[in-house]
Amino acid sequence: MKKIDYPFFNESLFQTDLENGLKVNLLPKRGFHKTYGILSVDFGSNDTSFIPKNKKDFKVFPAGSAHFLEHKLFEKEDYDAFDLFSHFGADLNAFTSYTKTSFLFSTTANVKDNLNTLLDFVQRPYFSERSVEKEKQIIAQEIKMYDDDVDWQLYSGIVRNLYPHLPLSYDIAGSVASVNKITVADLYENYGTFYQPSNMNLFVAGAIDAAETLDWIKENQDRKYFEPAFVVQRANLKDLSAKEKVISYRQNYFVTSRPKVALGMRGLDPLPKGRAGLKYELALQLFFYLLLGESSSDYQQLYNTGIIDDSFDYGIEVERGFHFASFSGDTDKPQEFKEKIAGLIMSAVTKIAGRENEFRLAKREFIGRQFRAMNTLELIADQYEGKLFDNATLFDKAGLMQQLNFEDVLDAGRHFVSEEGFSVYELFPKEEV
Amino acid sequence: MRVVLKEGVSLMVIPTKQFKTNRIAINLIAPLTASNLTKRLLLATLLETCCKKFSSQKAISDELARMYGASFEISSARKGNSHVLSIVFDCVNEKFLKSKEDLLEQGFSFLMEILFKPLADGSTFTFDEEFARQKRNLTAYFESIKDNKQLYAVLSLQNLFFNEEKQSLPSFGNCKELEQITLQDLYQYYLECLSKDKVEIIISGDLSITKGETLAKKLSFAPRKLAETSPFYYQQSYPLRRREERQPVAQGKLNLGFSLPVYRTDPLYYAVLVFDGLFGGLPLSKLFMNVREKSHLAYYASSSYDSFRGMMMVKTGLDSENKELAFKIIMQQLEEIKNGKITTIEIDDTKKALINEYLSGLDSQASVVRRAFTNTLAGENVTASVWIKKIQAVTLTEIQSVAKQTTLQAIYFLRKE
Repeated sequence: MKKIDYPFFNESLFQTDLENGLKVNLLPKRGFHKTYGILSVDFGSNDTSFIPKNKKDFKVFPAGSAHFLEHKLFEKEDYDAFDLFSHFGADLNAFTSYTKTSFLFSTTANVKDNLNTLLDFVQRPYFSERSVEKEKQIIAQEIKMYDDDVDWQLYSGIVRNLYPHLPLSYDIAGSVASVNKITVADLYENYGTFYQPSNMNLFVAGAIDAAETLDWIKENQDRKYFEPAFVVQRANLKDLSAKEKVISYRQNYFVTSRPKVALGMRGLDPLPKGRAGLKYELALQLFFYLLLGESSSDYQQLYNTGIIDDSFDYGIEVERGFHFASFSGDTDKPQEFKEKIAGLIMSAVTKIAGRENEFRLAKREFIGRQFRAMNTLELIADQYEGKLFDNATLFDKAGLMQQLNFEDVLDAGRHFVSEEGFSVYELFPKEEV
Repeated sequence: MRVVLKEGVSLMVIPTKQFKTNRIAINLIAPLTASNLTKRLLLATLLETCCKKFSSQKAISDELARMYGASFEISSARKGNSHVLSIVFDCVNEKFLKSKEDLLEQGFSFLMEILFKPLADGSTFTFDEEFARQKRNLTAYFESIKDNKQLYAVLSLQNLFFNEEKQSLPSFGNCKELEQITLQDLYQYYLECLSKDKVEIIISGDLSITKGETLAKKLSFAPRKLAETSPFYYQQSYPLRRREERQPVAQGKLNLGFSLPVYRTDPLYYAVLVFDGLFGGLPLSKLFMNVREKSHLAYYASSSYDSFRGMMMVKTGLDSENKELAFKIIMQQLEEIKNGKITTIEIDDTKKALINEYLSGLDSQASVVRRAFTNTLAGENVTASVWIKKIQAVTLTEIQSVAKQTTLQAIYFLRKE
């Protein structure tokens, strides 16, 4: 086990790869009562097309399969993982993103039992016809709830514009129709392909002793048989999207009291490999903060003229296979909203070039934010992206932030912003019938 | 430890080295009235945007960024019979920074500017433009609430359930009130808050009690006389009220309001926590298991208990045609608890979950500060070990007894058109 010290943050992380390929990160936190453990699989809603284990050809699975699988793992033939965690006093949860599925617990007692429960329920699949059919109703309800959520509709709308026809344009949960197509055999095929230890990582943070915790994990893994690891062949988003262009504009109507506008920028540049990719993400964060953060002069002007209000927000997503930025808000002046912000984004590099003083201030802000994140076990563990950023942790990220200079930020912007990558999606209030 | 700095102004310092940040909360507490809800929200919003020294949002953001991304927020909330304006600031513990600036001290200086030196000329605030803008923004926010169906349904039930306006209105007031407030009114009200509200200051972080006192004394609050009032809201029960609305929604919402006249300082308070956890407050609860998991009638089904208002609310999101059946199952679960049809394992697991939640809260500085405040407001001081002992001591009989004290008072249903 490797110990990595971060004296600047007064933290030490323990990292190791088990024989079966499972990557383990352990972060003991002094003074904490809670332990947070998260087991993540490098498999998300985007991964609907791949070569299944022991097969030769690509196969396409229904949208929403990863999310469905996540739901279904909790229920076993003779127990429900839910009850076991409750019995051991833990909270549990799971989530599926475009590229990742994670299962997690948080507890202030019985860490060993909870850790075993987590590893066991994820590593021992059991799917039955009956329970799969039942689950379809529950997921249909979940999808319907998102159907009513106007902000989610706006976000999905812009992502669909940026990546038309790619798996990214489907809802993470799929549609009622695609979910209805999922079979028990599909679940086992997805499971067998992606849920191998070498495609997973475990991060435990909090009130733990690293050596003792590692012993527990090894003890658990040694009890199980795992088939030899193999590298999953997935359809490459880049190949899929080679011919595909961003849809530059779409609009829609929805039950909403005010118009909502989203602008998107798809990164058409290749993401730098390893930690350079993380540094690039940070640089983009700073880039857009300087352009449209609350302290920027343009934000203030847009705010003061009533073009944007507190609902305005933007975000940068950098994941396996894609990266994009989105900007959105409610507005009574949709025309000005999209023109002004589009103008700013397109001329961003020139706009920002003179803002070196603002950059120094922004850097202080971002350093502070990272210190604040270190207070929270969930943020420390969830921000770990494994392979994508060469196993960098929040502490490495904070280190990269301190090295970042103004030129890095401008450079990132130069690579990222393009005419071809840009799109607008608008939602207008539906006329009352 | 809580010390009285001046009459009506108290300070609690919670020293800890657990966090990388230090946190300050200044709470201004006033007796709840219907007419002040909107004023207090508007005041919170405006004080957050400017003051003499930092005369724009940008100036404030820059100052916060300079203090290594300090965070600063003013929020307004209703808690039982009180209304609370919370001014919260947190910043990195400067021990971790290369430049040794006293950020905590700078934080107090900043809050001093914000609270005591607003843009004003002695008879009114002087930020006309900001005032008009924030009013517009709040109006837009009020309007947008009907887009958030979960919140809309909660507010509608609250409106149906409470007899008095100060409780039945949304805690943030309403559009009509907002329109009428003038800059001058608001300034007068600001002066009133500063001189009459009860003040509770809480600091958590890597500092000594003495340092906390020195810092808190920088805030120039004058002593004030406080009227004795109960923090809790009581209301008479009444015959069942029902309201149904139709809207073009995919998912219906069925919310139920129960009176549960056990309050935070009552001996049975801990039994209510266990009861609520068993019934619908926790993920392993009867509502979740039976309404969602077993019968698949709803996507969510949960209960929550308000220990300052003696109320329990049940919230569900479902297909509209399942309403009657879901209602039946919800009431059945309650009946079962009243009849003691719960296993020892269910009770033990619920207690474990509550204790887990409580101890986990100690790992969040925000939650430590919030709890300290809630305790103070209720007029008690419960330590972690006492809290845990009291939860563990709750018996089946006590759970049944509090379940029997619930009375269904209001049913709100948002139905698909």
